This record gives sequence, structure tokens and C-alpha cells, in this order.
Amino acid sequence: MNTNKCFSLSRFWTLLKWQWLLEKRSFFLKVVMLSVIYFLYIFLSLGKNTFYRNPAFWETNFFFLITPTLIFIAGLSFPFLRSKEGTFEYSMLPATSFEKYMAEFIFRCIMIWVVSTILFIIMAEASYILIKVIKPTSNAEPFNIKYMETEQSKIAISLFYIALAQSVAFAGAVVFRQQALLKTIGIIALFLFLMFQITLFRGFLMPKGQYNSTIQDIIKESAIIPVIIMAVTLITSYLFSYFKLKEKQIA
Amino acid sequence: MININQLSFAYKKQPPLFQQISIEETAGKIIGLLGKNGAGKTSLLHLISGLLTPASGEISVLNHYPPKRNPNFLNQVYYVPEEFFFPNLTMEAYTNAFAPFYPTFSREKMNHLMTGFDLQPKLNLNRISLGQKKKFRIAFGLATNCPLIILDEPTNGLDIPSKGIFRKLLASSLSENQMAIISTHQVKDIETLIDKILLIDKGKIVFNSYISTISDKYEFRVTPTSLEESVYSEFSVAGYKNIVLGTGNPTEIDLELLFNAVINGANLN
Repeated sequence: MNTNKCFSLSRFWTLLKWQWLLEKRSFFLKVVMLSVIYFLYIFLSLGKNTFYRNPAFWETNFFFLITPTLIFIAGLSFPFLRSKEGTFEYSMLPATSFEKYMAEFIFRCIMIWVVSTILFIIMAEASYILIKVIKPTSNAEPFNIKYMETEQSKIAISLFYIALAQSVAFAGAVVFRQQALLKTIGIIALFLFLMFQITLFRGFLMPKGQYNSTIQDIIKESAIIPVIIMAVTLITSYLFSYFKLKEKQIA
Repeated sequence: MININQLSFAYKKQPPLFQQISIEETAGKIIGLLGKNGAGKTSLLHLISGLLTPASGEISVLNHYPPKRNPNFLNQVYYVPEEFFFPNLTMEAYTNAFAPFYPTFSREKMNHLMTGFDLQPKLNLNRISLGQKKKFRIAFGLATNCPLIILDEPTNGLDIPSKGIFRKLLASSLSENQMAIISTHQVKDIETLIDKILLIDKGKIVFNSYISTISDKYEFRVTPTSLEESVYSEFSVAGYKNIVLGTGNPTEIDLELLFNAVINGANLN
């Protein structure tokens, strides 16, 4: 097999440089925008002195800010595919579908994890310093990675959910031409609603004695099904987006 | 360079656009791809460049099967579409971003073509006119030195002086191992440029001939009345335009008349 037909390191490097040249302005704008949002949110949360009322303050806020960021950025993948003319340009670019896919994946799904985590840490530190300057008596404590290590399984599940949502948003960006992110969010919402309905329905079919279980119990007992569905969805989304990209044609 | 054999193609849920067409072309010429609106000129170009997949038949371009879109094929084909998308970049930045994908790209030639088209490298591509965008795209395409250059309606949006510059720069930019296919319905714009005519109508190649052959075989005359011996004639403001068999006094080819003759069923092959 001639691997050069599928992947060439030098061509991939050229593609990454190409992507950076095209994206750098928008990348810096997004970094500025996210920095402002992260800073304001963390600063105001710290100012409300909720720190000691919520032991998982940093963990909660980390996921609250990171989740929409990652979905939003993944949903904006493949900007060339938003128009027929752009699709044409992208299709004629001398690189394989796999290289194009990997370049987008690295930029929009991997790099953004690193960038948004670093931004969160910087903004958390900046907010803490400012709070201490304005209000020296504040009980707030600086962000520390140890806060994230308390409930590792819970964090792992949260990360899995984010990765799943990210993969679906990424696939949506290949499938939909217009308002890809909105349409994908709509599909995710519908999917979650159906999952919820299935879980409830399954609960009603349970043997007598469990019939009066709470919704939380029912969800907990049937947790394995959603986990399997979600794991399959995650892998399928990435595979689907790759094959969809490969088959893109000018209609 | 291009070998198409018994190719058929249809868009989804549409009647066939091409039925068993065959084309064989070698390098070193400029081909004028002519046809009425909707005849399938752009679709044929998309098939050649691998943007569409044929339903049946064989297609080989530069010894590649285009629908596979192998990068080693794509970096030998430059396609200037009729309408295009530009990222938010200056001409200079666009050149820096896209040129590395084309191993035969010449910056020297690009600068020469930019000067020829009177383009400013520092201008943002999203803040210039359609004509300027088109000129830039043509300049970039020619600077790639790709063996196959496809130009879809290249003169649309160009002003009269720019059309002249385009003809001059295209003719002087191509080498013997290159081929250019120009698709247009504005035949006057490319009359003096092309070496060969490929005319498509109703899903078929209805005419495929070198300009020199046509010139040897036929004469194009304007007369006050229709000539009896004419193969085809039509009335115009200037009088009757006639195509007659050659008598050894070659005339300038009237592509528009030739086009109308073929479309209206005159047998010129």
C-alpha cells in the first residue's frame, strides 16, 4: 500500500501551516473573546463568595465554561463547507481527505482542549488575584489541580460526555451546510430527549416493586445502556464525519 | 492527458446529462469548451477535475482516475471556477498559503502576472471587485504551472481592457506540456485564443475540431443575400453570414456563426 496516497507527513505539515495562516486571525479573536468570558464569569462567581458553599467550585465552573466552548468550536469545523464555492475550494486542495480531516480534528477538537484549559487556569488565577486585591478578606482560594482530583470517576464521565458532544458537533459541521451548529444542537437535544424517554419507558416495564422507583433510580439502573449508546455514538460520529467528508461532491 | 471513453453521467433524480461521450486530448493546446447555458460544460469540467463521479465509462486525466482526488493529481490540475470563495486574506497571504501545495508554482511568474493584471498584493480579497478577484484567481492558476488548467467562464466579470490582457497573458504563459480548457458561452472573448473547439449539446459532443482544420475546410463570408452554396447561413444586421466550403482563400473564423451552425444541425464535421 502506498501510504503517500493516504497520508504524507510533509503534505500534512503544509496543510497545518495553511490552516494556521487562514485561521490565525479568527483564533486570536476567539482567544480574546473566551478570555473575557472566562474572566468575567470566574471573577463574578468568586465575588459572590460561593466558594465555601460549593466544595466543587473549581470543578463545576471548569466544566460549565469548557463544555460550551468545546462544542461551539467543534461545531465551527470545516468552515469551507459552509458554501458550494467553499466546498469546491476545499475539495480541490491537493491533500487527502484523511489529512484534511486530521488537520481539522487537531485544530478544533484537540488543540481547543489545551487552549481552553490553559485559558481557564490563567483566568482563574487572574480572577483570584483581583479578588484578593479588591477584597483582601475574601475566603476564596486559588485554583489548584488537586480540586480536580477528588472525584476522578465523576470527572472521567464528565470528560466522556464532553468528548461525545464534541464528536457530534464535529460530525454536524460536515453534514450541514447552513447553521451547522444550531442544527446539531437541535439533534443532540432530540437525541437526549429520546434517550430520556427510552429510560423512562424501560422503568415502567420493570418488575413489580421497582415500579415506584424514582426517575434517578431508573436512570441509574439502566445506566449501562446509555453508556454503550454514547460510546458507539462517539466512535460512529468521528467515522461518519470522515466518510462524509471523503464523499463530499459538488451537487 | 485526458482520456474519456463512453462516459455517462446523471445527477441524482435527473435524466442523464451525458450519454457515452468520448474525448481524447493531448497537451500543448488551448481548448474552447462551448455550449449553450445548461449544456453541461461545468459538469464536464467537474468530471475532469474529479468533483463528480461518472455513472459509467472510463475517465483518465494525467494518468489518474479523477474521482479518487489523489493529491498528486490535484496538484497538477488548477481549476478557476466561475464563482469562487476566498478566505479573509490579502492576495499576498493567499499566495503564501496556497502556493506550497503546487510544486511547480512560480513566484516570479505570479509577480509578473499580478503586474500584468494591475493587481495590488496587499489588497484584501474580500474587499475587491469580482473582476479583480477573477484576475487574481487566473494569475494564481497560471503561476501554478499545472499541466492542466481549467477556466470556467474566465471572462465573466472582466472589463474590456482586462479581457484583452487575459488573452495576452494566457497565450504567453502556457508551455507545450500544458493544456488549458476554457469553458464559455461568450465565444467572442476566446476567438483568437483557442486551438481547438469542443462543442457540447444535449449531452453529446457535437463538434470536436482544430481551428486550423476548420479554417482549411470552411470560409466565413458576409454577403447581402444568402449564398446558395453555403453549408449554413443566417441573417444578421450586417447581412447574411455564410459558412461555405473552402476555396483556398482562408477567412477569419466566426466562432459565433460556427456555434449556431452546429447547434442548428449543420453538418460541419
